[in-house]
Parts: sequence; structure tokens; C-alpha cells
Amino acid sequence: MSETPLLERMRTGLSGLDQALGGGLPRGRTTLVVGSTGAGKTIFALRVLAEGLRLGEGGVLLTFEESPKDILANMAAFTWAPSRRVSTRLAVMDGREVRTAFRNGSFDLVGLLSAVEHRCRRLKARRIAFDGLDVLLDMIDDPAVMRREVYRLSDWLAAHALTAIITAKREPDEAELPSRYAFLPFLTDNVIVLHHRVVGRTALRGLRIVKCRGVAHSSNEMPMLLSSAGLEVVAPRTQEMEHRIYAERISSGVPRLDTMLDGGYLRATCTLISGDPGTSKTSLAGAFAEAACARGERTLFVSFDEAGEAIVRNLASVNIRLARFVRSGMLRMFSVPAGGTTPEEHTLRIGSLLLEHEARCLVVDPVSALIHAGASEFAGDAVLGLLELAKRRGITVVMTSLLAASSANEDDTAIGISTVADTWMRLSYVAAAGERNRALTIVKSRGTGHSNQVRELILSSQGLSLVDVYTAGGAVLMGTLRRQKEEQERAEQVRAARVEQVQHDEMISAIAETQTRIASLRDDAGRKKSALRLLKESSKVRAAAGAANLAVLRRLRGADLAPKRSKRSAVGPALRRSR
Amino acid sequence: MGNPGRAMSLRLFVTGDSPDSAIAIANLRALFPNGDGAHVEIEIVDVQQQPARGARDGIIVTPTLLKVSPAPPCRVLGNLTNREALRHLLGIQ
Repeated sequence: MSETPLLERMRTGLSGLDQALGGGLPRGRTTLVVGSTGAGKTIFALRVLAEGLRLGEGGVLLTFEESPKDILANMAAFTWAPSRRVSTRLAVMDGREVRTAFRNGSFDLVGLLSAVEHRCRRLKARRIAFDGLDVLLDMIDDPAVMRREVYRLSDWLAAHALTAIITAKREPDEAELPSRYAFLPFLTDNVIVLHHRVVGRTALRGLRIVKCRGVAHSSNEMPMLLSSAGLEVVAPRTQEMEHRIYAERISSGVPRLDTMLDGGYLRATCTLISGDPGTSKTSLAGAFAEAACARGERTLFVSFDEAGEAIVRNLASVNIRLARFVRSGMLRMFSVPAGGTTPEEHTLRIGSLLLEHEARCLVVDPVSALIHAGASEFAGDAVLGLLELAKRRGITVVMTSLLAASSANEDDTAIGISTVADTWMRLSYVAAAGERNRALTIVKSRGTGHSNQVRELILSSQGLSLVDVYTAGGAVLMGTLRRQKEEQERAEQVRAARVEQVQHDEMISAIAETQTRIASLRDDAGRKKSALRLLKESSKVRAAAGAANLAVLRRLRGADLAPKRSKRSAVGPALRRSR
Repeated sequence: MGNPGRAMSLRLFVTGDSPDSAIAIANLRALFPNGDGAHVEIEIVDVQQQPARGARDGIIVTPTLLKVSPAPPCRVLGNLTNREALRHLLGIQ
């Protein structure tokens, strides 16, 4: 056995496990995988072998329970199934004969090892798996012989520098490590226990590294799930919170709300919209999705318990048009029943969909359904893990959360999601004057100067809008009351405007009248002036004429220069006469 | 039960000189003291020498005795210490 000073790691293909082990299982060592029926032992072993094939390492699987044909067929269903080319370097040996064989006296594993050795040499195998070794061990009655043969096996593995996976069954009611094979963990370098239990109606899976020689690891159980990607292990969350900080604001899809939020949601943050049933949480989330798609940002819309098409259709009634984006592929609607699947399974699937869709925005509607799915103790971690993935990838998240109508403390959203959400908006009903209206409050918004005012959220065929509410005597007016108030104000304004108009008109006409009067007075004055002028002229003419006559008369009479008095006296009687 | 007159074909898989293998060979031979050659064909295969043959018959542990014929075929694991049970299984009086 060639011991390298630093443990060389071998990737298992289970990324979460590799992460938890700091790169993988130590190479050249033996790992015991214990689990009850259906816990995923065989898939674990296959995954490790498939990863080896991918990396150019041959592998041998010795099966004691399933037929090689079934095993290969099962493996082909997984996304990591080895390609035809590399699968020639995998040998599946059938060990099931031992189950039906008769036992007669003691035997040893020398034959087994020489058969395996033959295969390993031919395939240049570096990884080997014994699937269901307990079946073989159960054939050995004598504990001393059993121990001897296991020693023989582990010595042989070490001598051949093979990295081995040995799986063994555990009865559901048995301890984590069955006492029947109590020595097995001591003879193997690493021990991993796969858990599979049913809580409520939901199967929960978990993986626990019981020991791993020479490797620092967490001994806590990690959530695990089984999907077409095989087993996925959720590694413990890293403590560091190193995320790129974005300062960019992106629209919530509701202009007034953007204003309230200082420009919109911050990129790569999480917004929680909580509220009672029917407070249009989905509509707000839908508006965000629509705005995101309109900006050309790929969006994933995850809905629980409601079909994607139904959501698209319903939102169209409030002018949130998503169908076009679904058609163009910009928007991916992903609908899934919440029950029957664990939260960690949901979140892992959402996580892989995010990457697959290359999403920049994510809507989860509602996250509360996810949390309550399967009553898992990992729910909180699962959601936080998803949020962290989103943050790391710069994905902006909007989640809705349904508040239980009977919830004593309505601000107490499930498992403290509200504490990790960067922005938390609460939608509620305000019931007054025989109607219920929707009110929106921004409870908190990190890094955002936000409005602390309550707004009324109005849904119409034109879309979502926010309007100011009226506060009157400490009560908030909404809906009809608000409209009545608005109506009243509007009527008053109209009346006031009308009064002003009338006054205005009156003033105008008064001015006009005055101006007319001024004009006519000026005319009058003009007329009088000309009359006066005429008068002056005529008297001048007359005077001139009189003087001329007098001169003529004087000449005719041959009189001396006449005094003025005489002229007057001559004229005077004539004037008096004419009067 | 069984018919000792009919031809029987047995194959015993062993590994070199392991103790259990030696015991199995001795026990099997003891079953046919008269050298019942005409009716029983015994083949002894050392899987360390011929791993391909062991693999072909799916031999996992040694010793393993394989009754090839008459049908149905059956296999016996172990050093064949319990000769009575073996005789019964193979239908030998």
C-alpha cells in the first residue's frame, strides 16, 4: 500500500459530499456505506464508479442483491450514466449465486478475490464496489470466520490500491450501524450512513459521515435527495457571506412601488411578499416577472400547487401578460405539487433549473408551501441554501409567503425567512365600511430609503397600481371610503372652480363695461371739444365778419376811427334781438 | 430418490492450496469411494489458475461445488463437511 503523505482525494461525483469532505474520499481506502432498503446504497456505489469512468478509471461492481442487468438499466436512467465508450471499462459481476446456493461447511473469499482481481487487472480498475456485502457475510455462521474474511478483503483492497465502496443493509428498526457487523466499521477507513425515513407522507433522505480517517468533516446529517441526477447531497452552508454587492435597482413592475422603494428592488436581493390568501401576492410577483422579461432577463417562475398556465391566464386579467414571454422562452413556468417532496428536494431542483434556464430573476410562489412540504427539519436550511445560491449568481428573488389566517402573530413568517429577505412587504386586508381592501406596507428594505406609508393596492384590468390612502381621525380610508372621500374632494374642487370661473367672468365683463364707458366718455369729451372748437371758430368768423362790415360801413359813411363802444352799441341791439 | 445410474457432472471450484479447498476435494472424493467413474464426472477448477472459468460460472466464494447435470443445476458453498447433506442433495444413496 503506497501511503502518500497528503491524502489524495477521489471525487465521488456527489458534489455535496465531495464538498463536505474537502475534495472527495481518500484514494485507496475503503468506505462502508450503511443504509436501510431504498436508502440509495446501490446508486451511491454506481455514482462513485460512474465518476471514475468519466475520469478514465475503470471500475468493478460486485452485486449480491440486484441482477447486473437491472443495475445497468437503472444506471442508464441517470443523467450521469456513463457513455457507451467508457462503460466498457465497467464490469458488473453477479454475486447473487451465493443467495440460492446451499451451504455446506466453511468457505473463504479467496475465490472471490481472485475473480475480482482478474477483472480489475483487465479493466485497469481503480474503483471497486461490493454492493450488499451483508448478503455474503450472512452466509458465514462463525463470527470468527466472518471477521477473518473481512480482514482478508480489506488487506487485499489495500494491497491493490483500490478505492472501495462496501454497502451493507440495515433493518429499519436497527441502530445506525447494525451490531451484526459491529466489526465492519473498525475494518473500514470511512463509514457513511444513508438515512431514509418517512415523516408524515414524505420520505426524507439524509447522509451522515460517521467517520472518515484523516479527513476533517462534519458529522452532522446532511439532507440528500434522489432524482434523475441520482443522489444529491446538500453540503453544510459555508459561513462566509461573500457575495458581490449590486447597487442596481430593478423594477418591481409597479411604478409607484418602485418610487416607494427608492427605484425598485436591488439586484441580487431577496424580496418577501407575505400576506393573507387573496391579497394579490402572486400578482405582485407576476408584475416583477413581467418587468424582468420585458428587460430581457431570463426568469424562472416556480409555483406550488397551481399550474403555470393557470397563473399566466389569471395574471392576464390584471394586465400582467406573461404568455408572450413563455412562448419566447424568456420565462420558464415551473409548477410542482408541494406535498410528497421534501423542501431540500424542491430547492435543489429549483437550483438546478435556475442554472439550466440561466435565470437572472426567480419567483417562488409561495415559499411557505415549500417550507411546509413534508415537515422536514431541513426546510429552513434548504430555503436559505437556495437564496444563497441565487445571491452568489446575482439572481434577484421574489418570494411570496402565505400567512395562516389564524396565525396569532401575523408578522411571524415561517422559519425566519423574513430575517434573510432583504425586502419584506406585507399585504393585508383592511376591512371597513363593509368591504375589504388590499393594503401594502414595506416592513423593511435593506439598503433602501423606503416609504413607511401604507398604500392601497388596486387591481384592475389596466394592471396593478398603488394609491395613497386617506387617514382621517386615525383611521385609514380605503376602497369605497377612499373613493367617496376622493369624490367629495373632487366635487368641492369643481364647485370652487366654478365659483372662481364665475367671478373671473364677472370681473372681465366689469372691466369691459368700464372700458366701454371710458370709450364713450372719451367720445363725448371729443365731441364736446370739437363743438367748442366750432363754436370758437364761428365766433371768430362772426367777429371778423362784424369788423369787416363795420369797416365797410365806416368807409361808406366816411366816418372817423370809431371807438369800440360805438361798435358794441351797433352790434348790441342786434344780438339782443336775436335772443 | 435420484438415479445413481445416470451420468452426473460435477465441477468443484477451489483456490490453490487453501485449507478449505483441500478439505472440499477430500470430502467430494470420499463421496464416491468406488471410483464411480462411469457415472460421475468430477472436474476441479482452480480459480486462481483459471480466473476466466470462475468468472464464467459466477464463482464468488471458494470452495463452490457446481452440479452441472443432471438438471436442475445447483451449487453448494463450503468445504462439504456435511457429507450426509451433500449426498442427500446430490441424490446419492
